[in-house]
Amino acid sequence: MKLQPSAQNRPATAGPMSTTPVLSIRGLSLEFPVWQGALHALEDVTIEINAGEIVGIVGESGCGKSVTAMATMRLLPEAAYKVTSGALSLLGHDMLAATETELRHIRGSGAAMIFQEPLTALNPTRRIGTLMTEVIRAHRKIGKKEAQAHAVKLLKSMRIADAEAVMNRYSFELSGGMRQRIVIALAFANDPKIVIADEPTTALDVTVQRQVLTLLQNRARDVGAAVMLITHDLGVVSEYTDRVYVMYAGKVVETGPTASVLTKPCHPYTHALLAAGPDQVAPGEALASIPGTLPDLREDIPGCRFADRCAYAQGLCRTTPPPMRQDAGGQSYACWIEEEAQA
Amino acid sequence: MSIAIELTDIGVEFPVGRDWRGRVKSWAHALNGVSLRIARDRTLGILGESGCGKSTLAQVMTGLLAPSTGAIAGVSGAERISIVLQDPNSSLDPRMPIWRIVMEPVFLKQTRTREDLRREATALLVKVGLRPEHIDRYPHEFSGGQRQRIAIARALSSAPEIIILDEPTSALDVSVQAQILNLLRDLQREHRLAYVFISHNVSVIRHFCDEVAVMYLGQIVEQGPSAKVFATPAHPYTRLLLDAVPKIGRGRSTGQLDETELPSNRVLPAGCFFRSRCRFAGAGCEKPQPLRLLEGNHKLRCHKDLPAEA
Repeated sequence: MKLQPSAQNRPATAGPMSTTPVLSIRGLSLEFPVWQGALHALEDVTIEINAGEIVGIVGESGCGKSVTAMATMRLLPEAAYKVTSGALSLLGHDMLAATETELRHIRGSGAAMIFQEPLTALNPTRRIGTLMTEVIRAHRKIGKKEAQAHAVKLLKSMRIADAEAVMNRYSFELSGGMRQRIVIALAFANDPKIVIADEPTTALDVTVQRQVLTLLQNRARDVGAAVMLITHDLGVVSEYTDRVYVMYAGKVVETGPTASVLTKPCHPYTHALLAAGPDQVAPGEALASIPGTLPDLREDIPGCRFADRCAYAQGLCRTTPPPMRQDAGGQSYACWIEEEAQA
Repeated sequence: MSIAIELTDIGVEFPVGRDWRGRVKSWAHALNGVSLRIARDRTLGILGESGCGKSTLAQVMTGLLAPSTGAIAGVSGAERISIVLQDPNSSLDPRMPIWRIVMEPVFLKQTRTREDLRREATALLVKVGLRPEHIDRYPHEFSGGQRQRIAIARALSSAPEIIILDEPTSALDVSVQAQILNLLRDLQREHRLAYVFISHNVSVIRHFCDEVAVMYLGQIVEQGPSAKVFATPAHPYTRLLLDAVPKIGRGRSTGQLDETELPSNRVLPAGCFFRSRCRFAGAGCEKPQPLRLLEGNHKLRCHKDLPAEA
């Protein structure tokens, strides 16, 4: 009976029952000490994910989205970083204070992670079946046969037709899409409450990407798991997430329901990011690129981190960091400039 | 319209494994009868997913790979054709200062003084948006976007007629991608370059290319003016590909799944290559499909006239 996925006794979507968030990051600031200073990778980041929700974290390279994911699972090398302020609670556990034993218990059972490159995430010297039963048995006291049967069931839930045959294969014998489906099957092996997916489809073709993301979404809905979907693709955010956090240079600059953030962005960065897409202008016309580059995160930036590249920046923007402001539709953004002034 | 290069019925096969007597066990059919013409001042987009043969096609055009069958006419060889590769981290020698990287194609062919080469490198780097004082720096001192600018400067140094852009922006963020695409367009106008733009990114191809060829399993399945192909895609595969791209404003995914497995290129399918994945497959698809001409220079490798999309 243990093997039944507990879909029945869990709400299929985020209902009124799910008031306590599965993940709560409050005012987290994190830095990496470097020679004569520190790289401020995250600054006052607040992210909350409720049960059964699919939440997107979007931003360009260096915005801190992967550091957020790694910090959530406490996967960053312990000696290499320092949390300067804030709190991080995953499934009710204080992740910043958790011991190694507690971490082992949380990772892979209550919370699971999917990485970008499935080839490096799967051990090439073990058969898929061996890998999967190992993960299953690490968190459940069941026999080999039972674990194998469960693994086959997991593979079938990922629409892998000849699951029994795939169990005997090695990861390098399979296609990229197949590998990522196995990684997702593994992530759901122990009925997680939250799955953190860090750019799960960046290495895949668009047709395969659609299949993998759809399977991930459907599976999460079936078992009522929340998903943190990290991506740089606004199209993916639009089609697969309920809410979104937009990050820039280590800060959350805008958040809210996906549809409203993408249709009426309030922060100039979100606006610029949307406008830079090649489908935003007529073919042949110049694209709206964002001038300048990311600020050096080793330096102390007194005001808004986007001010140097922002078309609307004023005096206040360069001296004082803007606070998060909330509008009626549940959308919040960190900017001094009034929304109307930007249009 | 002057033709810069013309490919006729190009086929490329790679041997896969040999038995104990050295006989080839099987062949991977990378390209199966590709014909293309590329004109000056124009951009041809090659659109397709991994394994469709688009990078093999780039190698054939640059002369890095001899085709098994078919002919190439027009300019050929590395002198008149340059290439910009996908990953600027691995395509720039980390131990060379960037003026040497940029002038390497010239340095290998001509005897020029060091001062002369440095002067020209400076001019090229300024042209792609870098500063003169950068010429003695090394690749690791630059960001991804700047490194791609260096790769573009290198492609320009041999004064080519054609530049092959093999996924030039897929390793870059969208805001940087926009900068690089704008730069490439300005350079094209200035130097009257022909571009072959290879990408899997539908929106980049749609934005950047005058003409597009959609490839599947080493064949062109649809080809024509970009505006026409994207407005009225006629091949089932083109439609599948366009539908698969996640778009803003389409709303939440319904959770419906399509078949996605690519057939092997070891044993080519009989008849239409796309038949096993095609939802319109029926009578007539078991025969090999020729590329037929529709109106407006729009070519299609499918015998059916699909209903217009809703």
